[in-house]
Amino acid sequence: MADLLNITGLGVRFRALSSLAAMLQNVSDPWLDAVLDVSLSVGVGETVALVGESGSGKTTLGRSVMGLVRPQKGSIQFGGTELCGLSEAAYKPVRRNIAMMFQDPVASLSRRRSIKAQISEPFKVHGVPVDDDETARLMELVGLNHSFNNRFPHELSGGQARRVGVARALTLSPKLIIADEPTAGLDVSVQGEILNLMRDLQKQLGISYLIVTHNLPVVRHISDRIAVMYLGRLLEQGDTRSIFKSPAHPYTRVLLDAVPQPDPAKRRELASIEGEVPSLRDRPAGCEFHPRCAFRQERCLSESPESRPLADGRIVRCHFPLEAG
Amino acid sequence: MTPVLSIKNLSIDFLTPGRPVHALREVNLSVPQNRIVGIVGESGSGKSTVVSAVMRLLANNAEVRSGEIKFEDRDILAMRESELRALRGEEIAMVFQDPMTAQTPVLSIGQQMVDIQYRRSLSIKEKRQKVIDMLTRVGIPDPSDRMDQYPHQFSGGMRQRISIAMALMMNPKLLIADEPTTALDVTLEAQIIHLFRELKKSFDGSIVVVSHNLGLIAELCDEVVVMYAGEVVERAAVDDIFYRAVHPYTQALLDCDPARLDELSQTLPTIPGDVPDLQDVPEGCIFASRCDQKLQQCASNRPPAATITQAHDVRCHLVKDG
Repeated sequence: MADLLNITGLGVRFRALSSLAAMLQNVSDPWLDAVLDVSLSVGVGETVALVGESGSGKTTLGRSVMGLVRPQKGSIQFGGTELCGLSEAAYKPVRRNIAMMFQDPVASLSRRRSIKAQISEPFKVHGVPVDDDETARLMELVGLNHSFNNRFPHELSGGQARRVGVARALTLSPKLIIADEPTAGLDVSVQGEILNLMRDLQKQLGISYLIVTHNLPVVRHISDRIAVMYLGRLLEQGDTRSIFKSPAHPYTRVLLDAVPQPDPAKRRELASIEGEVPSLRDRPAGCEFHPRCAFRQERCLSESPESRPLADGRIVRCHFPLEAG
Repeated sequence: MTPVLSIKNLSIDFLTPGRPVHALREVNLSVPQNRIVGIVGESGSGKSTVVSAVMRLLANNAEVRSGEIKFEDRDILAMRESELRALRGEEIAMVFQDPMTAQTPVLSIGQQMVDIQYRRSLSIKEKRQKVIDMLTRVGIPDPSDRMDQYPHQFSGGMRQRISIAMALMMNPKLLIADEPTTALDVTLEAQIIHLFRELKKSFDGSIVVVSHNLGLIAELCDEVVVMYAGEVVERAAVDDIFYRAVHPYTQALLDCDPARLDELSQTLPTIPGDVPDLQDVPEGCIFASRCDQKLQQCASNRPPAATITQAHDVRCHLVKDG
């Protein structure tokens, strides 16, 4: 599969302290590494899910592809074009091909403009002529009838607002949609509708998705590949099926085991999961997951593991990956 | 044994500038002693309204049309404000969804937890010792040092543990946890579930868990109440709900949960249609418009609550009483 998006060695840092504050507090490094040495690709028509706990850097990674956050290191190739270092003006045409669905569908809409005005807005931004037929087509595509034309965001339910978000993302026929928590805040009976809609549109239009989420049961059904992030690093990436069948990184296993099972017969002892995500300002030495890892050994305390491929094509950043099966 | 909490026939309207919203209609539920009861439902099902009614924290425009809420043998709806103050926090305590906003940022957590004990006639030293004991029970490391820290110095998971410690401080007979893990990551969620299970062994009260997360309900609860659009449609022991659900809504809700689908599927199941408008409640069964097993009478006759087995009630025409 040809890669649409190819991220290599990406690094995003945020300044946590001003230079004066850093000097006063005697901190030598006032920066936070939100994304660290991430390499990831998304193929044409593929769905890649980025999973991890809060603070793992998954949203920052999504936003840096969109050019909302500017990475300091590495490269982002999109359809053969290098995006890192592009000026704001040069980024604009790129954003015709990459669209973003934001986390909170109601908050990401303007509360003062009608649904129709908001769906036609991206066309105006990019100077593309738009008529009523086009907005009607988009709304039909996402299953909203014309009565929504003149409604305002507060008149929509969460699921309907989500559909407007999808319609807005689709306006300029993008090749890639970055969906940040597309099911957050939706009821289970509604989240299926949105995910089915996204899947149908992918089949019809050949769109690729980069889905940022922590909802693992959903990821299992909708994504082709998964990338697991922790403290800004990718710890494991590979085919969804094989990762769910036998996670190779201990962290992936912890994440999968932690999902509560909606089946009273499967009540388990939840003893193996200790601690919380450490602060980005206080990264553990060696393998950054070792303080919470049940399988840690001497080497993990001091030596940081490199990403390496396993026999089945998965890439794992661990000294002692778990046995398959 | 009398149940700790029993709600009978509770109906609540919210008065709006237009027509009233019939938010709860003839809700019945009971929480037996020493049990964990889960209330599940999607948005708009009325689960939070039930909790607010029990705590008497309903908005000003709420009107209780009928029914009673009994805590042991006292009628909560008839209590005066002074009686309610003695009830809240002491006998019924609550854990809220968002641990980041549930504590005051300007007092140390130790001070907040000492303040909770204002009715106890103990010295400050003894009260602080009780705080340390409680923080130890919920798994806060170095409690004697950390109790003098402020909420912002704790992480989200720690703060939810502290919220639970605060709720249990006065040893309440009933603990209500409203979406206690929704704001947490999955690993922390697992830790909080574990904590609730541990506490259950030493805490001799009852717990009500309100959630839309079927996983949380299955992991924790003994009994489950399923709500839809302001009505209790089914209530039963947890195994009966998860393996022998009778109401089509309960079945559909379970079917929609992607965590319950073993087979990988291209299309995820949904419940087509929308929740009915509660300003204009349909005449028949509340779920009829979305039900895939509906009968002719469902559109016009509201089904009575039928008892299948002793502890399994369903409001559906597919079930005959007895």
